[in-house]
Amino acid sequence: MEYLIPILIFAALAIFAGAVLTFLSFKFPSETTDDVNAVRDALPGLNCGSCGFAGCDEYAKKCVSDKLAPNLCTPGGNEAAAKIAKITGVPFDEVKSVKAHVICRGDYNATHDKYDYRGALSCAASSLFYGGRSSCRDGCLGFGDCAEVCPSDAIKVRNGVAVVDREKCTGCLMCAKVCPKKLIVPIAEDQPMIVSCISKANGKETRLTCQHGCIGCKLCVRNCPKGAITVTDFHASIDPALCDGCAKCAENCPVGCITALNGKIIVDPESLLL
Amino acid sequence: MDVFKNICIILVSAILVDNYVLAQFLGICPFLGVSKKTSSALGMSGAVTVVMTLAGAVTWPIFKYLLEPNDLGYLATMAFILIIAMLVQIVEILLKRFIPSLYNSLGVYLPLITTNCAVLGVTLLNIEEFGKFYEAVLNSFAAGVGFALALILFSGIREKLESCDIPKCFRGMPIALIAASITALSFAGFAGLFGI
Repeated sequence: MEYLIPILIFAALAIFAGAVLTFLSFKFPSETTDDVNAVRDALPGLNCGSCGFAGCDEYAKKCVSDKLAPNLCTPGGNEAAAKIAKITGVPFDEVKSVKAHVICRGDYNATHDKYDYRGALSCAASSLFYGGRSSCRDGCLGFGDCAEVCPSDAIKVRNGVAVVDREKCTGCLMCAKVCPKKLIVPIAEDQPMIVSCISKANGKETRLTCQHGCIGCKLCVRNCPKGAITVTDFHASIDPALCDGCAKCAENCPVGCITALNGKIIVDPESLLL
Repeated sequence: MDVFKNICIILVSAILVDNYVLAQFLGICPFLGVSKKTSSALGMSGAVTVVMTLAGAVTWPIFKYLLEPNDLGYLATMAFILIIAMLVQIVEILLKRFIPSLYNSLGVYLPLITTNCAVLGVTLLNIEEFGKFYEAVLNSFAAGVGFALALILFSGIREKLESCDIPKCFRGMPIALIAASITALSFAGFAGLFGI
């Protein structure tokens, strides 16, 4: 009996608090207008954050209250943008579609293990230990943290390197957030060519660590008819505004680190191994 | 006359002499976390003052007329946490509905108050120290004002610190803690004021 009274009093207090809150939240519902709900329905609901907000709800709210551009949702694409534009009255603009791209080609054939790694099988864990198992300190570790978070199942690890299936990729970039090496970047869908290496090490060092690493030899610079390629810090980069996708750079690249973004590698790198 | 004297003593004591942040060291988390900008410090201290006053006004009668007669003083902490959480939620629902701009500017601070130990501390000290309802409410309100005073003063100091040439190892939290300690030291100067 002596235990019953305190329990009853406390329970009564708790039930009273719950009742008051329930009553108030029904009596004074927060003002989410029909517009916000409509925008929210037009969005895909992945909560991926590629729009830059904390989720689809947040973006929907901002779309209505701040008249934001309707084309920030990459997974929703033009379809969602058109619907949102209709609801909020902001002029429609095409979604600048981006795809994730893993800037590394250092698979098991091209790189070697620095040490015999027997820890947890995740890139995050491996990268904590001397920067990961791969001989290249910048390269893909191949444990597939990115593949695990990908909501549309677009990333597969092939022979130690993550590869994005551009057909399936929605451009939400959740993979980019988990990559400990920051190897995954958004690339405009219509960009034809890319240098798939981020190593800034000099040619000799890169050669020792990865057979597909950019050594900064400038053959691509000389062969580019548009002058779209520059080499800084032993590392080539292609200006997407100038590149027309003739693929002469990839044909002449001695290490095969320049790839065409339709997923096809222009020259079989096996034949070019020094 | 006694009542007036009492009011003055409670006000001076809670705001200056026994300032809940700088003399009793309650509510240090928001004191350090929300003091980077004066504008957010203003918002936070306003919310805390409102919630403190409400909490003081609700918890004191509940203790005196519900818990104490049933010999359940030991339930005070638990019951008060429950009540404070409820009050914060009520304030949140009402603000969201009627003053959404204020709700947005308070943002995350409002739910943070639920677990603010200064609010709980004030309500618990109220039932120990004060025998009359008006004293408890007044003390809660004054505690809120004291919190606001400390927070706003300190945020002013931190804004000034931003533009100072501080050695690299002291930048950020270390210099904030040092500034906090000196502010607390200066409030110690109020001890013994009017013989309180």
